[in-house]
Amino acid sequence: MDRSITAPSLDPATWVDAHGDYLYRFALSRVRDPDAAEELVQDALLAAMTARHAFRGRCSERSWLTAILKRKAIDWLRAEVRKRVRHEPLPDKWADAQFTRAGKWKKKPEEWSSADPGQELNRAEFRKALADCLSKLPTRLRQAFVLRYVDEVAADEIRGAVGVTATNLAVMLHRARLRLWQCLTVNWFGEEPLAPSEGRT
Amino acid sequence: MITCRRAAELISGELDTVLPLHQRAGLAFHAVVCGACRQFRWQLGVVNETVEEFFATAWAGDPDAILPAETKDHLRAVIAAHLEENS
Repeated sequence: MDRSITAPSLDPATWVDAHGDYLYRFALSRVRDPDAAEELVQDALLAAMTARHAFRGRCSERSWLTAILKRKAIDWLRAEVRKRVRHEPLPDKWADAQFTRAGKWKKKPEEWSSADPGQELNRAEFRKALADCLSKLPTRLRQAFVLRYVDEVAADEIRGAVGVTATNLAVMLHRARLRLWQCLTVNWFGEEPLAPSEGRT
Repeated sequence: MITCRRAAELISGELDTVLPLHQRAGLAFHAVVCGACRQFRWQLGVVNETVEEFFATAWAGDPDAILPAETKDHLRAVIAAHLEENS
């Protein structure tokens, strides 16, 4: 096939070197599992190879590849969550321990000090703190939680869902949020902010 | 009167779905009398917004993570073979 019909900005021979690490990080930030992330990058690049004649150059090569990878990551997460959601809700000692037997807060939500994540200065630091807190979530909760936020379709399904799956998923999302909230309260909004790191987004 | 534990579940639930009327009413009533849960509701809203923003913007992940060299070699070879086949 004549390569000149490929949009001029697509050059598959350079993909691995130009975008490999970027795509890998993107996948890793969604699935956390290094093996799965590698596989997703590979799947995405192969799918992109096959579909490259459909590229119209409306976005950059990298955005186009990332969009394909995003879809692959969502499919992977959906399959994982579907596998696990049937076995939920598992007992959750941590979540139970946040409340007394009578259902009151053991430790009431404290006021946050004013480390506003929206401020430009704080943004990179905050993203680092949030990424750390996300990575501390138990795998099954993190997968459900990430899927809820990266997949518009999943979010809509949750909105309209009924039955056991919906209930279980709601429980998982709640447990994930409770942990994330607690982690951010300690590591970001609390009295003693994290030591400044040199990390960047 | 619902408990704080239940209120916290509903506060999370309302971020994902429109709660049925009786749950909304229960939560609204609880929130009037419970400062701790009002605080939690506001804070969880902030968490929700920041998470949405986090995934919506082009988050490039951990800058130290790199695709292993042997995987890169493998992928380069696969792509080259594919290009060869279709040339």
